[in-house]
Amino acid sequence: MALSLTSAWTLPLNLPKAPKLEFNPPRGERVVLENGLIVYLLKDPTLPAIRINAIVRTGSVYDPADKVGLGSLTAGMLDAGGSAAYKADEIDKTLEYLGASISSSMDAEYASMSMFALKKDLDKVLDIYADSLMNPAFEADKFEILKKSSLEMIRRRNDDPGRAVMREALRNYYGKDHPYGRRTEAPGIEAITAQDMKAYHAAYYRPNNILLSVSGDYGSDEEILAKLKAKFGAWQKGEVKFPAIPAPAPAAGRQVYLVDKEIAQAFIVIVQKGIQRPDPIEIPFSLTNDVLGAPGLSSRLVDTVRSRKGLAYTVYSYYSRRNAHPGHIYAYCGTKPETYSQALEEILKQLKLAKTEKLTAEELAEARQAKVNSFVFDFKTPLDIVFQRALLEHFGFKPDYLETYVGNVTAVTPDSAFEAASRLYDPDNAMIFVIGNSKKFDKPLSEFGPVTELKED
Amino acid sequence: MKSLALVPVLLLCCAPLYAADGKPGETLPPGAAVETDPKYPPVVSYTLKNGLKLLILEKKFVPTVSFSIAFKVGNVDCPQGKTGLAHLFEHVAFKGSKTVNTKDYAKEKIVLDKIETAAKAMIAEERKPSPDAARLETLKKKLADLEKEADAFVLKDEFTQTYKNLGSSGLNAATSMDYTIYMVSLPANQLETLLAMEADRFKNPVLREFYRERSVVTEEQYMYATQADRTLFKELMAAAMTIHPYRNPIGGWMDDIKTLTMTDAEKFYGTFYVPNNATIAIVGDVKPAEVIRLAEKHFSGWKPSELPDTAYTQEPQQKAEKRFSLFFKATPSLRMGFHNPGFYHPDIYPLVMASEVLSGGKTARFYRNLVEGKQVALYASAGSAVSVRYPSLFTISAAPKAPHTPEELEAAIWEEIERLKKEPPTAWEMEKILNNHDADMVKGMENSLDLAQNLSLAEQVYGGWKFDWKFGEELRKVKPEDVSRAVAKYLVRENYTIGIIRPPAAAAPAQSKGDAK
Repeated sequence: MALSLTSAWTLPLNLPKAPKLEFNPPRGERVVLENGLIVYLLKDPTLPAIRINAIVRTGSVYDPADKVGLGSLTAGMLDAGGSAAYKADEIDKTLEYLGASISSSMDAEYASMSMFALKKDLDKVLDIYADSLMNPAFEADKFEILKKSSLEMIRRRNDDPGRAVMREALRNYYGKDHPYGRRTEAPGIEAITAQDMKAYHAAYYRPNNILLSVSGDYGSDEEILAKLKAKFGAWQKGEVKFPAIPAPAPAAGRQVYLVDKEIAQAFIVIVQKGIQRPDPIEIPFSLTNDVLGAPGLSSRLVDTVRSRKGLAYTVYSYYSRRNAHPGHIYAYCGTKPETYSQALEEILKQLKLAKTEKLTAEELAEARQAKVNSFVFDFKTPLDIVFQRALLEHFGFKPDYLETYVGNVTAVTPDSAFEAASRLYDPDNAMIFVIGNSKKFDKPLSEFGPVTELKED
Repeated sequence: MKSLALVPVLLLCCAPLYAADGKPGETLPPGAAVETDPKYPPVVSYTLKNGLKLLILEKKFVPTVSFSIAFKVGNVDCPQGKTGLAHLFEHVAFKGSKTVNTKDYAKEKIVLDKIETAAKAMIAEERKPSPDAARLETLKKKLADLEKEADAFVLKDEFTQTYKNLGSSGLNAATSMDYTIYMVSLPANQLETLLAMEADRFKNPVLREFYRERSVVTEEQYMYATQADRTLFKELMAAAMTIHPYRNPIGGWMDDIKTLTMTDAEKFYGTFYVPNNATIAIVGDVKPAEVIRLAEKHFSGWKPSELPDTAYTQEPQQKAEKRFSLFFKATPSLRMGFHNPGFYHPDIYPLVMASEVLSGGKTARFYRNLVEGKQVALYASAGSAVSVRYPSLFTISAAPKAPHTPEELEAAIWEEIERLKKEPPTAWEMEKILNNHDADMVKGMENSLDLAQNLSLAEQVYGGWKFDWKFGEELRKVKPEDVSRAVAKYLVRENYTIGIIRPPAAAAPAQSKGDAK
């Protein structure tokens, strides 16, 4: 597919119109090994290095209720706890000496493990990477360190209120025990054993449950595939069963939560019901959200709350692309407590406006152009390309999602954008979560709805 | 290699693969030079007659162009009593020009002048020992009314909206103690628009919506004030540096911000935002000769002027160990600072090696012995410098792991420092650092916008775009004994400041006898 990027509006400064830009999104290859391992490949010989990332189809939402954090600790032990063939200390020494790295992490809806190696070290690093992914050793002393660090992080989780507010808002929206709302707690972490991690690894870390993205200066596709087959080919496939995730049941009607804390700003999060991925409504909705307040320097929220009123440095609105039904839409703002109500009122007003009034034809045309023109930045580096394709596949998007994306954006009309926005935005029933110093508030929070006061914990 | 993050990594000794389309050398105008030494990427350098420097690197992958312009002006250059001016100007530099963000500049200018008069009157009242509350209210209202009047002439956010519509990525700017940098990427066909927009904003800036943006900047400072680490760092700089302007927080002191006027910002602009104080770097799918032609077209009318003396009062030698407690609603952590000799002193190389020996990864001494081993730390990390243009601080930040106290962690860190004075790094420790420097050079080439920023900063602020590569060469000359010697010279008690975050309860008199939990 080729798309041409042009501008539909008048440029300032009387500039000549830019030449057309022909752009074909790079694809890379998709190969499935016999044991079901999916491999995305994109050769890039411009730098003498290789990057690999594995997406493992699991996620912290599948953690057992009494051992929340199991997936995260398991992932953490893959890059910290050694493997069948290599002691953990030996891995650290080898990788760090070479300037290479292997690191693993856990998201709500997938685990990932990535690797960087200079070209000259590919074989050595790939062998460690593959062994760590397939045959982790969960060394006891390393597990002790990781566990204690996790406990320490729990003790420190409220140090930065600007971050804590987001976690706590979603926790109260989805429910404190719901897989999308809960957080790790000390008793759950303490209960996790090496045996639990081994069982977890055996259940989810299977070749047929993994999407590998590979990019860089690895020679030919055949050469790297031969190496990957040699490392991963004998890995046995197995059936993976995912626990059912109950649908979240967010409370109906306006709810206001307050954590009273003497800090210089009040942090406000407004949460509304969102979409479940993949949903075709996302593209028309995202265009309205771009106009309303997607992160960046120009939107209605930035224009009103920040530029016109000088009430905030950070203000934006966004939405989740999760498998939860419903997901969430949120607006975020940090503002001084003495004027917090002005910022909050303005954000609610703008949400309401997006729900009740169509975008102007000009606003929508600009939003469409902006999305089409910036599409090229989804492909900044070779790993971006293959990782993005692998992640879209994991998330259940159609294989031609990227190829049809520009057409789908261009097809959005004022009516379809409005239909999506008016269905989804719902400020009257939004949950409002605030961390701030209520003694300095210019208006009682109760003017925004029934307030539940919470203790920071 | 974390400690070198301030000296952003770039360059690569093995980059034969820039898809130069044809032979740029043949088509370049006189005065342009392409780097041919294979140790470096083939950067094209060019200087306009007004002193503006231009660096161009063709990097073809997808059709994008990444732009960065670095100015050698940071908070360190703000006049006494006007700290924060560099940062506030950076914000206002997104507010357009005589032709962008305005419907009719001639009419707008009349109101802007009235705004300035009203703002000065308001600030004068605010600065009185006992301001007249009623009068102040009237003055504030007058300013607000005039700002609304000016709105009639403003095309809201046209500058940022134009970039958004063109498909920009990474539009931003940053102010540090040493420099101010602006950056953006666009699809490659928008090269001329990009250069025209950037030239216009720096040649013809109009500081509209100034006092509202001052409120935005104030909110930014409030946000930072909620963050323990940032607050600790601010206090550490103010405690360790007694006179050099590095002691001022990057965003300025709140009381200074309240005095900043449009007039101050215009004067600051006239002094420092001149082409002979700037370097542009462009990385992406571009033709260097075309970039030079367009840069000449749009930037050559920018007038240079003589730059002020920036040899600020030097920091006197520290005589006393300094310790403070920062009472803050957060779990304990600590930050140590030792004066370093600056980046233009040869001792910086062994100090960089020392910071890496201590905390460059899981095999480094802090992780092995403090996180593992004694298990007193959640993390501990050393950095050789917090700034580059003048001598600054070698810092160590760390957090204890309960039940250990900050004091136990401090003692354990000192043990490692003393050990490094006696036991030079092994050959393995030294080689590891150099290998990581090489790998970081490769990583630094991956993202075009990062690369553009690093090139412009290195050229304009650090002393040449090859700075990082040359830094690596210097690191290779360091011997293990040099590392121990430098640690013994700089990481000593009389050169030491430490701040510890403690919960506010610890400040209460009832708990001052050691019964605090």
